Amino acid sequence: MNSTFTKILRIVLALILLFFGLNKFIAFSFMPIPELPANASDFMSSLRATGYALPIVGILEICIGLLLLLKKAVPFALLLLAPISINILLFHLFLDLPSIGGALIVVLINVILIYKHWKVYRPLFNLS
Amino acid sequence: MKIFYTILRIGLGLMLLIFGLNKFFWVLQNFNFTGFPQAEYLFKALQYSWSEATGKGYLMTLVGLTEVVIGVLLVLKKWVPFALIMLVPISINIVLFHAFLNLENIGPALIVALINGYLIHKNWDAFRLLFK
Repeated sequence: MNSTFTKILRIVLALILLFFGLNKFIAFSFMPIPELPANASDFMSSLRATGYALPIVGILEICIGLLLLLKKAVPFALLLLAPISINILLFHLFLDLPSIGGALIVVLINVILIYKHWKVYRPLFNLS
Repeated sequence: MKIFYTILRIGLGLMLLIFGLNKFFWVLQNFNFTGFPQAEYLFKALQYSWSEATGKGYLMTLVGLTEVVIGVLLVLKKWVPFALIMLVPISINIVLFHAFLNLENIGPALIVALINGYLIHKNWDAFRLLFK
């Protein structure tokens, strides 16, 4: 649970999430605005039109990033990330396959870290 | 109090089974978001991954499938804490959807979220380790 490998993965994931989370509020000028396929772009517009969806994902990403970076409630942070991981993976899988790389990295690290902390999640499958 | 808990667990399970299966068979009356343009736009995009009613989106299938799985787990009393935690993102999203875009029909969303919260509270022992 505390190997150097796990530590590196945790910090890398934290930085990725902080970066993408902050990017939703203060669009970094060096980040190119991604060219999305028509379906994906329409879906994103519908999320943007709601006004609340993207800021909430951004806030969650920043919180998760901070928790991971500060090593606070790590298993909770990983669980909080799971729905975001699933959604970015499916979004790219179905609507924007060419740029699936970043999503795969996040999902992979998320899964590896959950696996490394599996002991902590075990009670979720026992108690009734 | 034990019977109260059991009723809530099974009630929530059945509610999710109905809502989940409805996403595949559309047996219930279809949602009518006339007068709520953003809700309509988002809902269509979720349903079809596209604002026009063409093709089939993946998101409603994902949510429906998740709801059915959670419903079955809750009714059968299997992996209850896991089912409850799987429901949290759905609870949050239906409450926010209605709070921001379609306040009139927030009722069922609030009921699901409240029961979800209460049952998590009742099973808190299973979640304690996550915050260590």
